[in-house]
Amino acid sequence: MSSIQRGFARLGFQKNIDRLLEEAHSKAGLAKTLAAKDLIVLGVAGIIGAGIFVLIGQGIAKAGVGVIPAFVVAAAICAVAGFAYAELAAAIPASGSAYAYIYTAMGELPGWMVAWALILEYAVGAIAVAIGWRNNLLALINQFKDSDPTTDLFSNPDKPWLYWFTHSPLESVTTASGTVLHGILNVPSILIVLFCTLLLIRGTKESAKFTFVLVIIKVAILILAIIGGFLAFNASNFSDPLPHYAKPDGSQYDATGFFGAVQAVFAAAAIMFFAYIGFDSVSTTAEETREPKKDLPRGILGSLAITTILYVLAAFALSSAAHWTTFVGDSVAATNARGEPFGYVFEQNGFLQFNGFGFGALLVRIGALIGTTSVLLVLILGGVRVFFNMSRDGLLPGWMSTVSSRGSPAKTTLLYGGFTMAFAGLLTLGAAVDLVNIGTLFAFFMVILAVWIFRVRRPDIERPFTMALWAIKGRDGRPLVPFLSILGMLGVVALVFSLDKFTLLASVTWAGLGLLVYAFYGVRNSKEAHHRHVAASEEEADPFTNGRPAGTTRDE
Amino acid sequence: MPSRRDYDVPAAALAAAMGVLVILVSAPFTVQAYLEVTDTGKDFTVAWSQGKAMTKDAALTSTSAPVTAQVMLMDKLPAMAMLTLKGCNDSAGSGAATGQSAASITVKLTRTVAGKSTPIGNPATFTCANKPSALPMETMKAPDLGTVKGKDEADARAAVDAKTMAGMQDVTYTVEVSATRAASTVPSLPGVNAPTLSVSVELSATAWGFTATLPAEASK
Repeated sequence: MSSIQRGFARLGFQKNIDRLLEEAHSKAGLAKTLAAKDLIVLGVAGIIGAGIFVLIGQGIAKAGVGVIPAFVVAAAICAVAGFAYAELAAAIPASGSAYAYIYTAMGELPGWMVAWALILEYAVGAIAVAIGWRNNLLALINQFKDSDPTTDLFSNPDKPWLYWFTHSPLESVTTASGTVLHGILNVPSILIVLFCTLLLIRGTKESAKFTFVLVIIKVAILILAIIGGFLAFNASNFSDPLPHYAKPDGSQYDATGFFGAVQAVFAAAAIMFFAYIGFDSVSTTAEETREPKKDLPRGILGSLAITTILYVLAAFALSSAAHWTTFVGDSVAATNARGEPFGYVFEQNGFLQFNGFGFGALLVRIGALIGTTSVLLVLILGGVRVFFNMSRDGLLPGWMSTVSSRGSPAKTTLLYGGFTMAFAGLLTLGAAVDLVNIGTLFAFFMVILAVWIFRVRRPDIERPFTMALWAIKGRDGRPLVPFLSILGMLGVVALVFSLDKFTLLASVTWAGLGLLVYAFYGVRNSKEAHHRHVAASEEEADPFTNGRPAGTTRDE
Repeated sequence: MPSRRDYDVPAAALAAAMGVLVILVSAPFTVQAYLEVTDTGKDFTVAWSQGKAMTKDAALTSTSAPVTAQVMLMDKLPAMAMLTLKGCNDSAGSGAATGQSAASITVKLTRTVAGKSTPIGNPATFTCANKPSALPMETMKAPDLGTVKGKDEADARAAVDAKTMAGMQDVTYTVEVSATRAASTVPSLPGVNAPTLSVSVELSATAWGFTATLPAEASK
């Protein structure tokens, strides 16, 4: 074997699944405290954020009533990824989510690349959500200010400190009277990240209990929003149901006709997809789950099913309450409708309005605040677990996988929380915010692919849950052409290309950086490579055994 | 049997080479795409609110001549002009003992644009003993613009200014306060002074201002 061949073979070293199972049961691991109910709660907590209260308005502007099938299309793509996650999570019950599965199914470098993408997703996501949390908080507080229209509480030149300490140094605003205010420190974002970090350091079970309370409240608010939408039901909104209008640049937007409608539904699905992101974080907690083989698929698919039902109901309620024309254009009304669709519809229909105070809008804002809090918890939890698992595999420094007396990776959580606090407090993300989405989509693609490859490579592994592949099989029963996997991957690719060019290119550059870190640290310190060489030297065999149980050969 | 080093060294070299290649190829395009993104602009949300009020007082102390006060809004989008009765004291208010009549006060508000004056509402006529619940006022709606595209805040502000330029005006609001008093029904008595009057009306005017901000960053 030439050195180049050895190099490629080394990059494809797969994690030994028998050792992985052993590690999951070892005493040094994380405390096993989570049941299926906790995982469903974690999944719903990760999925339902503030996005659903906002994105749905943008979806109706794109597809009108077509936003309802758009949710189903987005859910279908997520379901394929969800089934793939569930199969791998049940077969490979170690935390680390997509990273651990792809490392085991496809090799160390593909696993590293997914983990590297997930690090960016979770980190950028946590920073973005922390900043979004601040925005929701300020909107909520502003609703209680006096009715004097000349004062905006947080851009008031008479009280500039309110702006200074709620915005980062990169943010500035020109107030209505012309004064320019510059931010100093985004204190609200720092405080919420600090709170979530401390809660996670206390232990996963404690944070799961807190998350459970948040989930109950935000689901209740979402249900109330749906009821509010249905109370404003107007059948005439289903006449002329698909958008068609002249754009400011003179061109036409036309979603009528079969192809126009299909295009519009997929365009809206690309937006709605991001309201589903988060269910995958359930699988990062496999090691803390009491019965991962049963509970992980239930957690992933259960949370996806619950949120899909809620989202479709919300889409139906809102598109029946307001015509698509309400959401199109650059007028103040259209901007408000897109920015706060439920609040706008409530205001128009007097739902939960008392003495001129919009309790409906208030509830939606509370829902958004709670939604972002629980998403932040899940993002920090997910990011920490990726670091933890990479560290345990030797691909990152060892101290990152030490566990505190409470059974949580306190040091890594503190580091991760501190990083998020610093960035959320001092920066804005601007165009980089969509990097959250590319990381997820890459992980989804790889997980769907990993199921196929793992079925071909290791059909012998016990799989308590298997996804349907709709595959043409070979003589030995291994899937040759799995149509569902291919459809799922094509769906993900279609969504990837709905992202802007900067996001795509920046993620490639990030991947390049990841390759360098892997080359200079990961390769040398990989424990998998160490185990293989130890085992190989004991048996005087070549370490290139493709992750098969020790003592077996490549050709078995 | 090959050592670990025999595997790690070529693997690290391959990964590093791929990393360098990927960065060299993608980084310039990433920078270019970033510049394009910031150049094309993002959707800024425009929030309208009234700027700081400009105020002037018109203080009337006799019935002999009216007093006026003016507030000018130069090249602005007028939002509101309102009058506030800050004080009204008429020593002849009760009238019965001296036979002196209460002064009848009239407050008028006018708007002047390009030399053309237009009265706003009906003049308010009242006595200090019977103050009006409302004085003439004008309110104008904010421009119906909620979203603009811009590279940054300054660019977004320029876009808003361009779209609302037609509504910008040089406006002068004028308040005129005057009073009349009916002649006394009884001859003036020795030791009884002529009645005193003091009326103060504040004219305040505001223009529409706006903030242009990027909407919340998190899509989740």
